[in-house]
Amino acid sequence: MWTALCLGLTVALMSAFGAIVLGRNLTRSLLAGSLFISALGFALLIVGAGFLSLVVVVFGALTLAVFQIFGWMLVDVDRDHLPPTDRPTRVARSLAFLLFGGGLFLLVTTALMTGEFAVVGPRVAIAEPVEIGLLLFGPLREVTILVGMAIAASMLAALLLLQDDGQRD
Amino acid sequence: MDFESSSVGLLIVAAIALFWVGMLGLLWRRSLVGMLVGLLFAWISVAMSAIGFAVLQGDHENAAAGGALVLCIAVVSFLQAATGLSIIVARIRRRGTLDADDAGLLEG
Repeated sequence: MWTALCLGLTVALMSAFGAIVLGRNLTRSLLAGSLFISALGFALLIVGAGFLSLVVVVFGALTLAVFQIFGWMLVDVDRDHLPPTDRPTRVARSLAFLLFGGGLFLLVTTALMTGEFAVVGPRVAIAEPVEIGLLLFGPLREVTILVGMAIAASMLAALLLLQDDGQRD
Repeated sequence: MDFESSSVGLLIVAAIALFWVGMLGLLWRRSLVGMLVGLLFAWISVAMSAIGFAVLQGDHENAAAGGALVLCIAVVSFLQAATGLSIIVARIRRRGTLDADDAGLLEG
């Protein structure tokens, strides 16, 4: 189990990195992203996420599919035809990534040195969909209303942004 | 440490690494679609952390709250992808480029 989890997470991280590095070819990048989603779903199933792993995989795959469709419509999927970034900007960005990565590394090492991950109380299975639904339509109904308003607002924004698309002069 | 605790620890460390990869995509890539892919990875890393902490909790109520949080994160990340792609379509229609470095309309 431990080996499978390590393998799943390693493949997921390598694929995510590949999706970023292979960015000038959109199809290759999204293919690596799909591999990332499947490896992540596998790792989450091993951890015991159950239903939530399905949620992450479905929404991640849907988002990648939307990127792919828009990519086919909008851009040359083989190459993005953007000019290379100038040298000072590249150096500054590299330094920023290194500093950011170093900060995250320090955060993780400090957390691992000062404490340990332990299951609080008796181990229970992750929540079933019905329990999550009862929570979302019960004590957390305000959150559900906010999410509904976010869905309506983003759909309206998308419609307004796309309202003239497809019109012929 | 038992398998459950150590596996959740590994998941959270992987989530932090994935967040770094997402930021790499967001700041390094010049193509707006590539930046959205990086942002998707950052969102998924947050969902991974939420799943990890939900698994760490011992009672059903907190695990269900973690599940509800993951659902909200998934919906909001999908919405940002939809809105972001619409903005990209509008931008390509007006400026004809995907270059993020060229997007300085709000500069003073």
